[in-house]
Amino acid sequence: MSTIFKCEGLTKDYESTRALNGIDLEISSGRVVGLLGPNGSGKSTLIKIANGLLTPTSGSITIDGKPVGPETKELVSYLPERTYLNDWMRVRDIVKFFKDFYKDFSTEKASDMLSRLGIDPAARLRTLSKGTKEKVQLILVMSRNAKLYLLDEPIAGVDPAARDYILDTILSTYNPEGSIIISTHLIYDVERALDDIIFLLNGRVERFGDADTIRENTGKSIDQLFREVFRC
Amino acid sequence: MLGKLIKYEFKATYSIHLLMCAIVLGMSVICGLFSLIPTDQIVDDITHAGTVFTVMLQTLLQALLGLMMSGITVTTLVLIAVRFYKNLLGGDEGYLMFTLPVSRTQLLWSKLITAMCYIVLTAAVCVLANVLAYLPLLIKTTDIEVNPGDVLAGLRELLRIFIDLLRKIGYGDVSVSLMLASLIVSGIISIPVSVLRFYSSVSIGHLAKKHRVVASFGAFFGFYAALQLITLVAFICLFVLLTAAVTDQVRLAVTEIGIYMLPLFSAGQFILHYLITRNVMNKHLNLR
Repeated sequence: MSTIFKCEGLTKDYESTRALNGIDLEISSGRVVGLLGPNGSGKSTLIKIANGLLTPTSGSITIDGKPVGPETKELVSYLPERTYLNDWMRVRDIVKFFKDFYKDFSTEKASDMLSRLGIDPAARLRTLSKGTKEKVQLILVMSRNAKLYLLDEPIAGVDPAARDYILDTILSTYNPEGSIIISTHLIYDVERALDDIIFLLNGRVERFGDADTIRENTGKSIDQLFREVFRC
Repeated sequence: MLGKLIKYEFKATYSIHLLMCAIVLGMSVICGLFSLIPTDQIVDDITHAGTVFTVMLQTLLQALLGLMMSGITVTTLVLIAVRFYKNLLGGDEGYLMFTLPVSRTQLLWSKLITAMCYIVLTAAVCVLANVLAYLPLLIKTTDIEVNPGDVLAGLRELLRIFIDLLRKIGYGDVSVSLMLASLIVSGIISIPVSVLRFYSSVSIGHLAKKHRVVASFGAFFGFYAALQLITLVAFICLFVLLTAAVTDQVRLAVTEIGIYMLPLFSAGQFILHYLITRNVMNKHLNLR
């Protein structure tokens, strides 16, 4: 398996806070990875640096061996924790927008998912509820055959039924040759889907490895281990 | 990719700009039509009162049109600055734009090219609005035929009179073509400079840890103050040199230096603001 995501000595400082402290990581292709940690542990910071939205203080990130830039953005499909859609567009306009810019975007996949969710392609984005906008965003992200999916808190702020739907959508639609990194603090809901886990605390990697191996060695579920490691 | 970015940039912004243009042009047509109402046929008190009212209304409409033309100019620039902030450095839309597989330079140029088109459009609309508002009355009252060639010849004559004046007060034998070329080139460069000044101010604001909008305003006023200061110092230097010049050749050389400095100064501002904006986007991006 080739390395799709690599951090070397990655550090990010915000004013007097060190959000990431010398992160070293290597993630192989074809893996579903849980980036797990409490609020403020540095999960979003790591993902944003990988997308070029933040400038690291030191260290580096490479995606498929390339530094972050337009080439890696062709390979990465990113779901941020916030709604970023242009309100003036209709649903079909944003689908066309993604089709125009991303060679790996599948309009058929997007249309199929929109139809199954009963989302009208002619609806203006500004008229949609927050939850529906998030679903549109998820559909756009998962309609790409990307090499790496970076999903930042995809199930935070949604009800338990919607969480199951979102996870099922993610696992059934992603490019099987690609990798997914899911950042979340809701471990119980995502544990079943994870191949590898990363525990992030105060900007450092506390634990990184195969989820099954960790469960065997510790005799605990990832959720139980998380509660133990990150006990207040 | 640049073409696609420009396409979506126009799609996102054209409606409000075209609406403002339509309102200004509509008002100019109304002014033009009202200006054709005769105000010189007073036969009794009623027509006298009507005439007074008509003149007042014509004056009010022309004043309103003047305000609208100032308003559309200012609003266009403000919309350009706000669009850059909201779509890139300040709002949630930056998460979409900066994760597209395009370079930061392409993002910047897409915004700049679109903004320049709107500035040119606004200027053209203001010129057309003046023509629509005042030409009908001018033709009606003077029975003149307006020939574009005559207008250009008239502008050239005005410039020649200005050069003669400069010559009389000791500014040397300046070439009309050189001065015209300098003014045109400076004018053209000033279009992107006026946009990039906003962009670089927002970019400098982005570097602040807190109160980024306030910092952007501070940067803008700082740039403006520096521009006024440099312009003043340049004029003083030129004046001193001209006053100290002992021969006409020296005076001509100094005047020509001043003429060459104009487009160079505009070009320098372009490079400064472009590099600031591009550098912040490339090396100091920190979206919250």
